[in-house]
Amino acid sequence: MRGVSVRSTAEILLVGIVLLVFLLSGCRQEASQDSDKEDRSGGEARPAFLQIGEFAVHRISANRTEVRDGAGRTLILIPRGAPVPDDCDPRHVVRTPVKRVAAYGYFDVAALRMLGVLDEVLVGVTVPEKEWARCSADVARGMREGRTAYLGDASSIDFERLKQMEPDLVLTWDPSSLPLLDDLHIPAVITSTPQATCLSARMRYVQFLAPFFGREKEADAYFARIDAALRDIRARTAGAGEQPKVMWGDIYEKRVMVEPGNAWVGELVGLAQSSYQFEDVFGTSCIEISVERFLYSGETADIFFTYRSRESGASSKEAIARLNPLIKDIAPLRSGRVFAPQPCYIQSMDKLDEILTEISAIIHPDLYPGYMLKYFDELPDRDTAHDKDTRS
Amino acid sequence: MSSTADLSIAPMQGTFLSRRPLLVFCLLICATVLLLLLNVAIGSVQYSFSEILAVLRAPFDTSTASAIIWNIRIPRAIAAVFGGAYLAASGLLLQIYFRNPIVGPYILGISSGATLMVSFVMLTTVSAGLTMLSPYLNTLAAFIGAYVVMLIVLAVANRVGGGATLLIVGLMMGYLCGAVSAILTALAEKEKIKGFVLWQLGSFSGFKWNEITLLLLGGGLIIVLLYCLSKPLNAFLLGEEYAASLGVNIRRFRLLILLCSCALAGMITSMAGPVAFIGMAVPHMARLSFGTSDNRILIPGACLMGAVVTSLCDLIARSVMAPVELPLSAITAFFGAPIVIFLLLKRRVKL
Repeated sequence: MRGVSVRSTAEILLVGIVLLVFLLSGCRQEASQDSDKEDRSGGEARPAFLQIGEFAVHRISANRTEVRDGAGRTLILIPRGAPVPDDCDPRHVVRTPVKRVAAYGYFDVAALRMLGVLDEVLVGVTVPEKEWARCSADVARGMREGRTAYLGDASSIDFERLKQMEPDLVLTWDPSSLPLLDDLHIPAVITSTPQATCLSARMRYVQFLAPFFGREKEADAYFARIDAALRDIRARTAGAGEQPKVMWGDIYEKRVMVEPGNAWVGELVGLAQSSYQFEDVFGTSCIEISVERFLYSGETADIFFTYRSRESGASSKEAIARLNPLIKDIAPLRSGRVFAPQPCYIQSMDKLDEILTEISAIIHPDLYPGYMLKYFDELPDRDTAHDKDTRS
Repeated sequence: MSSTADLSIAPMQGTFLSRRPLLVFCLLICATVLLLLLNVAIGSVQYSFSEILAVLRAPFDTSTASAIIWNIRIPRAIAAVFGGAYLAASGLLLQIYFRNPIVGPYILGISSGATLMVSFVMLTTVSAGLTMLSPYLNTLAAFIGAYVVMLIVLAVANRVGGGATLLIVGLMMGYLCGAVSAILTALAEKEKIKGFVLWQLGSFSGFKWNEITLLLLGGGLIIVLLYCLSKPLNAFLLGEEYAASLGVNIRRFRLLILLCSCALAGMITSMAGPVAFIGMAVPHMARLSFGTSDNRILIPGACLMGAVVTSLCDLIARSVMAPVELPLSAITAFFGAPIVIFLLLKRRVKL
């Protein structure tokens, strides 16, 4: 008798456009390697053209690779020592392998770790050492030893310090920093995109960065590892009897936000034989939806993943319900299960296979007997005495 | 500041409710009721007319449908009506006070004060032990911020005579509060900033019945008081000397106008966050629609116009991309900015 509202024309158009962009951007794994030819110059088969969500890698020749970053800019990778072709804009030329990198986000730092170059190349980060010390000992060590500098917050970079560190490349999600980086003659790659990162793009992102460092083999090995984890998840959950319903988001005093259905978590939930409650929501990243829809979808949900960490108030189901009493009656808070990320979750995207497996194990605990959580905490019904003491 | 008050006395002293205002009042009342009903009937979860009626007949039902209609949609629809009405009245008062057609309720730093206190609560750890105040922490903080700034502005207004000085003090308060908020934002953890940005966009989402009660009683009293002051306001519009010659205590009257305006704007901002353009654009829409500057007509007229425009904007914000919510201030700006530009170009911005 009830249902999600019939979409307006505008919404249908928007969904259509998003789907079209998806199809064109090659989020489907089978479309992501639509190479019409293969580059064998290196002695092994490698697709000449690789589409990874909004990102692309085009191997023109042994001495020239063109990449398209998240902002749609084309950068030209030229090996060190090779001449720069006349048709190249010097601002967009990156000499490879890159030897010094400043990275804005956790995910970019994790990508460097995946490629096995973090200790050698990372010269600047936008998060202070004490934050890294929790889960990324390698970055913290680099900062203590003076190899890696803290450049200030990502929204207000100390460009003098950045220039002083002489990076060959900056990995940033912030397109507004490009003009100044151009003035400083520091090549930059925009690592965020106008579209949410689908699962395939999440897995393959490292293959986009690999040509910068000549680490394609490591990237392929990483991708194979994640692919194997996904195959295992698919195989394990294929025979799962019931399909738990999952919601993923955050609750504020009067508002709610959710992870859109076109983001990687939504896809993973579907892949693990479960149902994502906000599959019809499209967006770039976590996005505000109406409280009534959150309540309606929460009525039948089994599991709720919150973005909010324990330190930010997600210490128990009771604590979350207290944040916004309007949603206190969603099923996960009453009788289901609620999970909050541990501090290491956001810094551990190089262990995406483990995180995907953990999410699958949370959704289907019966299929993963004895599994110990590493990246998420299951929240108790009520705050413990310790939680209350910590707050007061 | 240029005085644009070239009000003709005739409309004020003529027939109080001539045909045009009466017609516009009727239209606005109908539109308000219609939009109120639409806001209750339309949402991201679809219910048939009969289902809504059934839910309305059983307010104490424990079903999800009842929770959605009674605890989410109805309070939100009513809040949009009150919010629009109060912001419009607040803007109208300040436009009269400053005799400047392009001031709005936030010109005196009310929203900046609210934003500052909310940033303290959301971006720092000062509220870590205050869980007993949840879920009213942000609302309380915004309330305190808005009214502290209001008290400072009133204290300054009590000392200085010129409106221009007060306007500058208000702007400076806004800059000061904005500066502290900006520093807190720069130093805050990323995950906290998201919630703060969300609050700054303004929304009538998540209103609770006790807040509606507060709006009805507190705001209602102020609106009634304002209506009682509409004749002195008309006199004030023609000049302070003229008003004084009619027996109006100018100093007290100026403070009263500021108090009422800031109280209305602070009330809405603390509960819904800053909602742009309603307070600035709606009084002009009301003047144009009613064709008069008589505050006996304009005060209720602007309230109704504000209720209609805000309800419509809220309906658009939550329906166009449902279940995704668009920022309310973005929608109100779509309405407000073109109107203000049009009026400025047509040189029809008069008080």
